[in-house]
Amino acid sequence: MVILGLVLVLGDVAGNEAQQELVFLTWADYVDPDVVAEFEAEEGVKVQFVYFESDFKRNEILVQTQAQGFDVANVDGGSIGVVGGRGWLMPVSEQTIPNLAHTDPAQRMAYEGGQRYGVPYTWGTIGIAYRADLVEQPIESWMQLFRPEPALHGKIVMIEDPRELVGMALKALGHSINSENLTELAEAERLLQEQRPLVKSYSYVSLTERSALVTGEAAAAMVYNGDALMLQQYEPNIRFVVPPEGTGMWVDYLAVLSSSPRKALAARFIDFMNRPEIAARNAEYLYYATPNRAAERLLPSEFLADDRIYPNAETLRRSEPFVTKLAPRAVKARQKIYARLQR
Amino acid sequence: LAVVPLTVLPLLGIGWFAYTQLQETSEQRAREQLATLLDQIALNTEARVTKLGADTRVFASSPLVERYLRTTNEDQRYQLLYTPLLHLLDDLLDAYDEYTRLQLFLNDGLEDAVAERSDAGPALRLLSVADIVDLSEGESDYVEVQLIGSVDDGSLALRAIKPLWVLDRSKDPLLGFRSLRGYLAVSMGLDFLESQVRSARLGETGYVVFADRSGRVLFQPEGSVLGRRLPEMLWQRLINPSEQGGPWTGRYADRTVLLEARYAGAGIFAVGVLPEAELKAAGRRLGGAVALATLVTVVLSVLFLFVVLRHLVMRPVRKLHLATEEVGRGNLAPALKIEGSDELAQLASSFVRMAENVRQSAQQIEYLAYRDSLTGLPNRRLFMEHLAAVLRQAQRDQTIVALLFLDLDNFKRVNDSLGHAAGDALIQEVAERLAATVRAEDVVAHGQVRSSAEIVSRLGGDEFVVLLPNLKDMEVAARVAKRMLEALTQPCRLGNDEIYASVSIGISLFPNDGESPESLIRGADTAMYHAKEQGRNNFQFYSRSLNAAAVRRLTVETRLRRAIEDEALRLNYQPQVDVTTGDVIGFEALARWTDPELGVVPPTSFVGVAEESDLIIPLSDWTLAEACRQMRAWRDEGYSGRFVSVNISAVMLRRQRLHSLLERHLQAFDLPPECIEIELTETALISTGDEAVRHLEKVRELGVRIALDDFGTGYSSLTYLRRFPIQKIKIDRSFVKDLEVDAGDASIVSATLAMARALDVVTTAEGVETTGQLEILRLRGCDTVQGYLLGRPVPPEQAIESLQPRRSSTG
Repeated sequence: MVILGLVLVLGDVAGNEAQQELVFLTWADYVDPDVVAEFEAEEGVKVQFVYFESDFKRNEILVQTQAQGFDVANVDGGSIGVVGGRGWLMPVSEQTIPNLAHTDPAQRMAYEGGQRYGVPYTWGTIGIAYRADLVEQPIESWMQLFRPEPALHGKIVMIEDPRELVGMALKALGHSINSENLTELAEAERLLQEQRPLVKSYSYVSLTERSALVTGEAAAAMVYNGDALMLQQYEPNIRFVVPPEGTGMWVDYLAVLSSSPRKALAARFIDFMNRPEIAARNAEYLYYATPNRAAERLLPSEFLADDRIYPNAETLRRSEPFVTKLAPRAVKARQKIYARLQR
Repeated sequence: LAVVPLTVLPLLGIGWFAYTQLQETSEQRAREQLATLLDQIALNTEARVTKLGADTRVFASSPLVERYLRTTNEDQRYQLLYTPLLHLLDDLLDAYDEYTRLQLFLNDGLEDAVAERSDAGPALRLLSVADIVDLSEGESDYVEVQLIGSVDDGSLALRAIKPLWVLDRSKDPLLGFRSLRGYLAVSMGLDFLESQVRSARLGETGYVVFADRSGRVLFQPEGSVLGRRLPEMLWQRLINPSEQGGPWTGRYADRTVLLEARYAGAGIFAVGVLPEAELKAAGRRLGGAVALATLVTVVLSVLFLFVVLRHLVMRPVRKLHLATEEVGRGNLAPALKIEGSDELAQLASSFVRMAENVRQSAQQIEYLAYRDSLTGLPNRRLFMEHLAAVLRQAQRDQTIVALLFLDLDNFKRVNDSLGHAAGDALIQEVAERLAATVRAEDVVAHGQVRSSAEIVSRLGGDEFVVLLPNLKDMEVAARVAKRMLEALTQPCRLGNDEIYASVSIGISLFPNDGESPESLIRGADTAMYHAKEQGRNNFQFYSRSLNAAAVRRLTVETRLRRAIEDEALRLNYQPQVDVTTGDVIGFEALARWTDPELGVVPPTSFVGVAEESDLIIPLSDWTLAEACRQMRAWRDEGYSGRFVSVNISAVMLRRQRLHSLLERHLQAFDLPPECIEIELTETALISTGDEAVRHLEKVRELGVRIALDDFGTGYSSLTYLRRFPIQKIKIDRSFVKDLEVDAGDASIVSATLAMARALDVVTTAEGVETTGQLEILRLRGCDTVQGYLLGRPVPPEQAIESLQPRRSSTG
């Protein structure tokens, strides 16, 4: 009896060791769970998720942990050069990730460090998701979010990230999202402070059916385009708009962490995510444009024609990518604006 | 009428004498009070300045600050590390409510990051350190603390600046290649100076002002201070280091005053101001009383003389004269009885009244000089006198003295949020509760300081000190500290607010932590800061090693109390065997304690703790009762004729009427006395007086056998066998251990056994582990043996396994 118990205990321990884990630092609801399950079955591993709420928060997590304890991370183009430059990311290559060949070179090179440290995952825009049934006026401009009508007071959710907050405030005022002009930045801060009492929270809306935007606790939110479409499934009254003043364009990358003890597995995961058929299914699940050209060919034409997913030429013309290399004092000014907003 | 001068002149003389003497004492007292108050304020202020510097060092050593400074890539620094740095500064500001602004400067001297409170005073914000001071050389942990003021709005602050060095890791760190990467500045508001000024009490009209190096007044009790300066004469003396701190007489704020000054660090001077008018006031009041009494006397005497015959006058006047002489000699309550209702009697009673007034004034002056005016507790002066006396006494008696330094946690917050009146009320409440936790004895009895008294004193502000003289060990200090913390667990009601006050306590011990009053106070103060660091509301010893021991002992004590209440202790029984027959004739009951938190606690550690607290009484009582209960149970099962032996502590022997306790238990369990035996150690008997001997006699009369434990380890064992009614001795295991190899031990054992036989005393050898030992003991005539060879201490159900039921007629 005792011996049997001992064997069972040992067996259990051995089983745990065999079950490898892959720790994935990413946004919540930012990958098709079926796709992950397939990868888990194929490799006999378990994927553990660690979620962040904004790119900025992810960077804070990396600073706090010294980038220890994760295998794969989702890193935005604006950060990948800095995070990689800190020595936290492994360079990627077609040797370890053969499916890298399918990705659009333009997306790989869109950001400094992107080509060296990451494999493009999705790309898109930032806009406003709002409840058409809860507002008096349809939202058409950024200013309607920053100086909202009474129906929206206390019902606005803003992304908790200095780049997005300051960038869109600048856009609303007619400046570039990448402005380094301290006067313009001060103007943007005044606008943000003016909006602050009317904001419900600085966070990212949940993408589940219990999302504040679905329940109506929030009536408008700053979101990334695909997420708005995902939420529409639960609440048809949700509308998404990229205001005519323009917006910021972003690319998200998957990257392998230098501290990972399972770099080969991490690379296989990224390679798996870039198999054309997998990447296409994931894009459809997420409602995000894929940088994988082979996958794109597998996507239905109505997906490719949806200008909320693939912005039209007009939107592209009015939008700008987030620049990585801002002058240090402009970066500092933005961080201070953000810090004062949080106090 | 010629008699008038006879009456009046002595009165005038006495009046004058009393007047000058009191005038002198009151002035002397006032001077001392001034000096004491200033010492205290200067110490307080200096402590704040020192702490500011120390905290700045701690902040600067944060790993994040170092990482930030090491990151030379500006993209990385600002995109990744800047916000965490701001968070760190914000968190520090939240945690340390005395600081108003934290700033990080880079090595270009420009401000890089800042966290500040809304009331930090924008005019005091330093934007560049470059022109402030050259800090580019010097020790790595050098901190500069400066007093800063703004000419714009008159705001003031203390600011510590620390250069931040980074060692070059690529080089050998021993060679010290370091580079200056920035500066950290921590600013602190001067509210604490302001509140000291406001709370400092110096007689009726005296006060304290703070001034800076240039003679500019920073704070004074009321009114605007802008532009006010110290008098030139005073300032000259302040900045001249060879001058002592006073007192000087001079003019300040249009009055003639007594001035005294202290340097408090960081360019701040504390100046005490005591108007001369007040110094003279007490004396003048007295002079008035004396003059009035004299006048009344003159008038009455004149009238009186017309009415009463001369010889009737002379006697009372003589009495008066004697009484006044007595007053002159310092007895301010002279016995003066003049019967009748005539004017002379009135004169006498007004004289008595005057003497009483004088006495009360003297008392009042003494009280003011020795008491804290807010709480009525002994003040710093009295405390210091007392401390010195206690230490002298302790030196002679070689006893331990503990000094507890208490500081209210977060008192400033109470003051700031509820106002100073509430702060004062809180201090009073806390003082009352603290005083209630020590033996309430008045320290000053008839002007004499009693050196045995425990004393709680308020040093000023929110600081208290407690002196515990005559301690046997440091344990008592820990217990008092614990009691004080507990005394504050109930909230204090201040009007409609309930405030949870707590204190941090530092403890230093004489003679271990210092032999002078100053070193003890310094030690306790340092320990108090440790207590603050440990999260406040706790106490710490100055010697860190004592903390662990104290905590352990207090834990053991608390858990033991619980264990006794819950009856969680168990008795194990070790057999005693008859050497000739090999029969088990009895058991020694040994307490075993397994605590859910502490695990198995050996008797050696918990019996000691129990003896030092009052727990030994319930512990012994329980042990006796349990042993009796077990005996009853065994007898009911048919195992009779054996005894159980119980260890009794010296404390128990001294404090309890052991025989009545035994009698009660024997009756309760219906047991014959011979089935219980008590064991006493030699050390227990040494400390026992005659009364305990009488108690032991009664135990003996009861029929309970008394055994002497650990025999041979004490001093003059034979004496005890004679003096005390002992029927059995237990030879200590240390003699038995080497019985086979050590001829010396063997002969001691032989001698002991022979002596025991001669005195007709039964013998038991303890710690028998080998058959060889058993054989020797048998040959030398030892009666019974106990030890692992014969059986370990085991739970009762195992103890009887070795026995055969044996019915006896007494069962």
